[in-house]
Amino acid sequence: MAKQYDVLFRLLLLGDSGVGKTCLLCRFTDNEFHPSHISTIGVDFKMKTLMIDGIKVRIQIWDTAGQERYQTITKQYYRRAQGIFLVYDITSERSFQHIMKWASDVDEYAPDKVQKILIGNKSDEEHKRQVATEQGTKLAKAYGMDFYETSAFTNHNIKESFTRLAEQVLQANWKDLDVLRASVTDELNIAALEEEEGIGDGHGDSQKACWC
Amino acid sequence: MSRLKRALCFLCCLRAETEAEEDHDYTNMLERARLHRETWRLNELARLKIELESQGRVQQPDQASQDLATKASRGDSVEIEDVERKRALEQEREQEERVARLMEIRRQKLQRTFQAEKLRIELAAVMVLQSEVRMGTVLISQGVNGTSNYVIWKGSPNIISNRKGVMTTLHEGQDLLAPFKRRPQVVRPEHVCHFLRVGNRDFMSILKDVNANMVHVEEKGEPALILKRSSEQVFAPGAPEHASCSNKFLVKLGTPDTILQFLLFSMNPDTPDDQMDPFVCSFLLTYYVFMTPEELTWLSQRSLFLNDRFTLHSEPSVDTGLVQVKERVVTLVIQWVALYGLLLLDNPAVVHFLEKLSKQVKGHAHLRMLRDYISARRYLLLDNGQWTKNQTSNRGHQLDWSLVWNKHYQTTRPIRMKDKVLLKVYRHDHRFTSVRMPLNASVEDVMAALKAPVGDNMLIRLKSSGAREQLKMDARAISILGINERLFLCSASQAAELTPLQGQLGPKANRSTLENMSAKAMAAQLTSYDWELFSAMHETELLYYVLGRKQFPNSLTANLERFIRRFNVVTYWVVTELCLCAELSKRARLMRKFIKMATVLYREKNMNSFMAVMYGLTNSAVSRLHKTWKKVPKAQLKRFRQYELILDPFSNHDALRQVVAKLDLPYIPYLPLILKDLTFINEGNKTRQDNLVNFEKMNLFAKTLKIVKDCRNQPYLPIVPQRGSTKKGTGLHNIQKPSCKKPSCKKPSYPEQFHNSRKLHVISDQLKLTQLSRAIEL
Repeated sequence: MAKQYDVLFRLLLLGDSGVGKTCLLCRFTDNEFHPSHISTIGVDFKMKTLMIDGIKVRIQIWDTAGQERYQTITKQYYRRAQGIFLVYDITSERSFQHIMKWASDVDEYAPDKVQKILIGNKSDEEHKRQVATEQGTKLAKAYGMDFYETSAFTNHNIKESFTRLAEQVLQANWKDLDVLRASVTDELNIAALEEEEGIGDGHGDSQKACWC
Repeated sequence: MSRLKRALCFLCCLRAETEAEEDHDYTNMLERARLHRETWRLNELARLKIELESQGRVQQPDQASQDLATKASRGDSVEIEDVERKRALEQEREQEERVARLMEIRRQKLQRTFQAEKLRIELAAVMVLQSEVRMGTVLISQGVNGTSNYVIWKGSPNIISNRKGVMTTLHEGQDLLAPFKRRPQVVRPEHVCHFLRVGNRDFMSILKDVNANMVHVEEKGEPALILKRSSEQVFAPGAPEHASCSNKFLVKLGTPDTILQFLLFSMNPDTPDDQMDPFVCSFLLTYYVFMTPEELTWLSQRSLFLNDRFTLHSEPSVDTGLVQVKERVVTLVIQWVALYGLLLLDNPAVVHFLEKLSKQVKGHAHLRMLRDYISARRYLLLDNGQWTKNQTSNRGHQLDWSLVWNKHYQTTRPIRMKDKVLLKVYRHDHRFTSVRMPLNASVEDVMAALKAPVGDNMLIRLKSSGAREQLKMDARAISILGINERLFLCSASQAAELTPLQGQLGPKANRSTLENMSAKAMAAQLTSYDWELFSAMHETELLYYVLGRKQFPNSLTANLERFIRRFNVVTYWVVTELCLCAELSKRARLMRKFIKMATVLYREKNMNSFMAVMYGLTNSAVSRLHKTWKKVPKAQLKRFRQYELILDPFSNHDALRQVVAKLDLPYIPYLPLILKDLTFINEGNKTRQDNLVNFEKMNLFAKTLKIVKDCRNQPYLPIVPQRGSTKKGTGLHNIQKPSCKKPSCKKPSYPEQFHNSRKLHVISDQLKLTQLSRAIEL
């Protein structure tokens, strides 16, 4: 069986509810805009493979949408992630202030090597802006993160930011790449199997999900 | 393949019909179909005219009836209402008759549309007759993808392979679908053959239509209802006979009014009580997303009223259709009440409607059977845990709505909208003031109740970790409070110096009550309390929670929030108990007890608490206790590792979904996953599209909500028999109710156990838990 990808990374989206995490995710994983599509809960709808430096990087993105009130659960996700998006909404000062809380949570629960990136979403809503770009840049610098202003609506900087984080994760794990390859073998097989099954029983198109 | 089959079905049935009439001129098929439609309309007009004339009540029979009929055939309900209004002053009763009849025509029109006639006509229009007189003509060459599809009309062509010769001979009615058959084939008619030929492009476009199988219904020139053929039911072999063809259509988009009309038209009122018609179920579980309860009562009332007097004054045999509609309205309302129960009683408009309906049913002979049916619905929970029908039937003449709603095994009363709670608001010096506030009170309301001047005071939410958050004036003050969180009223300068109360910090030492209790007993207590909280929570709360308060400012989600809170409490409780246990051997015993508890919860199908305990055991403060983990026996550790896999969110919680799929009812679902699914359905799909309600989204919502509904509607009985119980069967009926159960351990006594599992004191500050964990094991 040909390998579908070389490495698998787990990325996590964090931020207050309503900052558009889910929209970012769907924009990235399913770039086409389907206003009228109906979707069901897909099996692998949060997977995407990127080519970085000739390496096929499969990224799996987790979203804790709808579970924000379950504090005890969301923290469990941190430990398994290799990269984290800290997302705020540029039209909400409050969501920006909370980034510090999210960042300290990450420091506490996530593995040391975890890579972070700061995202100011909804950059298309310039007229409602409450957080200046400089503020974002400053905060990102203080935490040693990269910073992007994105818009799920206009598809601005979406792919760039996801690719950037994936690159960072790849760099951070470069030495362990071989180990990583070995450790994902099981999951790789499962994923490959799922993909095959998906084609086999014709669920491929019905379960293809689009969330925007 | 199914697409192909479906397309073939159409081709074949087309052919069969034409042949039956022995008509060899296929091209006029389209014409005939049109004619058929015209004839039907003319007949309908004539029938209407005759009927109206024979009643002799219409002043200008010709014009009026024609007018009405044309409007009816256009499906123009608004204009129907106009006509209705004009005549209202003249002859009220007559008008009602006519309107009722028009409704009937409209319904028939809908039915007619469903027969997919349109599709057949479409196919006929692009079909060409091709006669091959010469023998040996090659229709499709080997290895070449053909450009046309054929249905053999007359004759029997052969399929010949270059290598093997004649492979098979096709006969009348069989097909040759060029683009789908990749195998090289040569078709050579042996005799004179006639084919029906459809070009690939036409075929594909129709196939697409057939596949989508959309039916558009318009109202006043605007699209009002878009139906989609359900692919599941079309080929379902065991589909019941009475399921009319309309059942095969699902609403894709529609206005609230037309959706309800279609629902009344297509619902099967004879569906047994326990298995609701899926369409009715979807509609009732989600209607409040696109229409208010008041609108629903108004629309049902209208459907009922229009037919009311008409049916009373006519022969029942003639108007079975109208009685049916009425019956269906009543059935729908009964199911509505059954589903929502007490929640509806908070709405005066709904109560008024129900009372009115009850009176109408009283005077209605046809609906008496419905009343009897309702009376028979009174269920009782016997001591052995079985539900039984109440033998004493209701002798009254009116509907008793209280008999209708689904009774849950509830000992904890659900929180209702008008409930008030006692809220303690603290000052910076830890003195407090108590105020009675409604659940949805905003910060502003609380400030007003405290008579605090707004200018220099603010409400602060203080967590046990000491973290504070100033609340905005329009935020809700009560429901946002998490575990060990308190509200403080203070000025800006005091806010910086706020310290948490003693009560917020959680227990200081292990109270060791757990030691005296078996894991089974504790799990049983947890489950029984979970079950109470779970059944007190209505399905609608989940959807309100996901849709958000902005959209539904007066929605009630308190019961759900209580259940969410419980989950967090149980998780923290596991961590707290372990971190407070300083002695290693004791701690190892406790850890084993918790793993055992998880096993019991898993077997009791309490997925919610099972996951809560597991999240506790995998918390960073616990998982780092390596010395303790080493003392756990290997077998138990192995089981724990297996459970841990269920927690893995890989592939959208695939592992957990697989486990849950195997569970039979009743079980307590893992709520976070349901909330997540609902969130994604909501964010991924539009509620409205071009002003029409996206009912497919509602179906998705309903599918998820139905899981919760089905779980709630079952009486809960523990699966795992306790050591102390007398009967050890695994069958549900052999086991006693949880409240009757004897405690498996002599000490502590039952009330204490009861109290233990309900009031769990926990440390909710993760930092403090981690510190404790570091203190007991480096």
